[in-house]
Amino acid sequence: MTEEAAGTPAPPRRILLVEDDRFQRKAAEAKLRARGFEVLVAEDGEEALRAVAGPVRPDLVLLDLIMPKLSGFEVLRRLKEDPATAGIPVIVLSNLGQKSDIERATAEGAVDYLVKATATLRELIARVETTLAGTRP
Amino acid sequence: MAGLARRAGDAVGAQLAGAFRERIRELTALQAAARTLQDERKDAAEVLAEIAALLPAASQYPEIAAARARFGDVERATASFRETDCRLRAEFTTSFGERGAVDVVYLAPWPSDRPRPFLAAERARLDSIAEMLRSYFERKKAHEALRRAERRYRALVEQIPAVVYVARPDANSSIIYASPQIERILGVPGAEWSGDRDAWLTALHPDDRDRVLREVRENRTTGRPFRSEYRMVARDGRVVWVRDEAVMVTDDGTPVLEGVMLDITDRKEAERALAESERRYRLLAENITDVISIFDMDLRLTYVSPSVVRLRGFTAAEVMAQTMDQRLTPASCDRALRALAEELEREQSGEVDPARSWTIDVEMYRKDGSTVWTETRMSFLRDEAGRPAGLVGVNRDISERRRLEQLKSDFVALTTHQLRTPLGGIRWLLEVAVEAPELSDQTRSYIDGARESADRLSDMVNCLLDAAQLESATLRLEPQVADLGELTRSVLDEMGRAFEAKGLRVSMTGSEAVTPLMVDRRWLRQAILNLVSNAVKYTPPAGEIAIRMGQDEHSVRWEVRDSGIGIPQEAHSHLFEKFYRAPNATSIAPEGTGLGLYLTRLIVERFGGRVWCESEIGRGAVFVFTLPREP
Repeated sequence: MTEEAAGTPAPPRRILLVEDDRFQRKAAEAKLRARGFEVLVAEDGEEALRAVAGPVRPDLVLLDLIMPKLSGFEVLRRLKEDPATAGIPVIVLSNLGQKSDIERATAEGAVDYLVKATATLRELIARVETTLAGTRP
Repeated sequence: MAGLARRAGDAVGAQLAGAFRERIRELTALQAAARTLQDERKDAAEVLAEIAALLPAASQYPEIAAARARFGDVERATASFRETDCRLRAEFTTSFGERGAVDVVYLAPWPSDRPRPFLAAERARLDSIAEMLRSYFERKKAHEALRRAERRYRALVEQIPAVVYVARPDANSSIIYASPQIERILGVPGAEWSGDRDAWLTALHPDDRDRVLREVRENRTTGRPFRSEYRMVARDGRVVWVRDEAVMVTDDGTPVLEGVMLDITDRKEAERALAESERRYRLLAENITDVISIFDMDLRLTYVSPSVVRLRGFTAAEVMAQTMDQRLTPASCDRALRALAEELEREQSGEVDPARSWTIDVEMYRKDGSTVWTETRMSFLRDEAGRPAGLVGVNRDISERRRLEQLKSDFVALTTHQLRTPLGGIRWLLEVAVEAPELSDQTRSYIDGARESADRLSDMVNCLLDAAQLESATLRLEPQVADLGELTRSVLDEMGRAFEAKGLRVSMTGSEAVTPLMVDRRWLRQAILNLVSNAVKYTPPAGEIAIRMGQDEHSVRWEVRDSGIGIPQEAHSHLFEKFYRAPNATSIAPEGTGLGLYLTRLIVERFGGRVWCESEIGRGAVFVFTLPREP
């Protein structure tokens, strides 16, 4: 629980959590904050794009796929199209567990894929930390 | 003169009287002998004794005469008989080579003044009697032989289970002789038959009379042997079917019919019952909407019910002319052939129910070019030795059922998805909640309980979603090269903790003998996982689980054997049904969903394979699946 204190004094990592279900959002946000992350939240695809375009860019995006207004696939495509945001790692977080969905998301540029139906938050944190460890500036 | 004449007359009279006396003696003796020899039932000893007794009276001096008669080893003599110098003998030999003799002796010493002891008449008389004896014994022997032969013949005739008869070739075919069996068949003694000229005609069944009489007439004209089957009415009113065969023969110049009549009522009854039962089944087959097909062992159609026209648009005759690949889509052909091959293989193991059936879903071509899905239940037709000699299949149109299943699957998929979202919220919130500081132990145990429940609910929802996907015709499989051994090992690794917790011994053999398959790894792994976790669930602590793999030229076989509670025979056919749980399963593992084996079956069948269970109560269970080597 005191990793930041133990390592080099790095700024807290910023996560954009895009999730339309408020309870899942709330649980994930709580867990991420407890791990010392700074968390931005978005409730749908449009909000997600606005958040990324804002002054504070996230270090990683956790992206749900099935959302109102703009689907996760669409958000992912736009993020990867824009050179300013293309470098931000995206982990897909979805109820869709078919191999075809996973392959499509990977092809669109997602670095990882978590099936919410079977994943625990502990696993989510592990994936986030692994991904960030690979992109540490 | 007168005195002389009278003396002379007296002398002539005395001479004449003597001659008459001799003649009377001769006739009396011959008559007596003839009487004695009339009766052939007497035995030789009796006959010889009687002949010997009447001989002295036939001789000139009866008071001093004695006699003896002999035939073969048998001889009889009068009481006073002994050999003397004064003897008359006549010998005879029958045509069968048997010898006999008759002797007459005078007992007193012959007076020397007497010229000859025996008269020529006496000699002739004795010779006559010897001749009569010879003829008697010859006749007797011949008649005995004849009687023996007749007895034998009669016994033979009366023992065969048929009536042998002789009849006159008159308009009524009147019976001269009928063997006694006729009483058993028609309830009328044989003697009555030969006494009544109309007996046969009267007993003919009225409905058959015209036909049979016509046949008889035709037969008399052509002279060919008569052969017919017809009904007769027994005395008690029973209707008796007979088969009648007769030939015309000549007996001493008179033509007679010699025939044999067999009671074929049982056979006719069996034929009638068979025809009736065939008619019934044909009626059934032709009126139900399911299609019944009969195949030989080369899967050639030998019968298809007319209802096929409703199912496929082809008439039965058109279908009979079709080959298997004109009836079924290639995938369905494959599935049907593979199922048959496996059933034949199981047949050889010998431990299978001969009346069992198996069900496969096949897609059939329709005349309009579309296809129709049918559920086909197949079973073997067997010969008298119980070996499979053909197949019978019942096809049922399940396209409507399939359509409903699709609707249901879509519905399940949608709702399951809607269930997953709130369930995800619950699970994650509980995961966060349990880490909150300053929780009381009690609160913590509540949260743990809620998490466990949520996990189970989540499993259930995941299974339902899997099932809905597998049930749906639109599920796309993603075949990859898969090593069955490696997939199994990864399942065993995942379950390692469960094995340890129960102290189970787990072994795996044969993986090296199995060549890689082209299958969807995720689904196949799921099937293996389901079977292994079942084995763990129903095996008591410290039990044993053995996984074995192997392959032949057509398919790969995978099996898991446990030392668990076993599965009652009656549950086997239901095990792979959705939500089914064996009656003894719920007590051991109350939390089972009843979906695991169902999913396993869906998966294995998706890959063109089959899964089944071999088990008995208390003897553990073996779950087996096979997959085709070239899907």
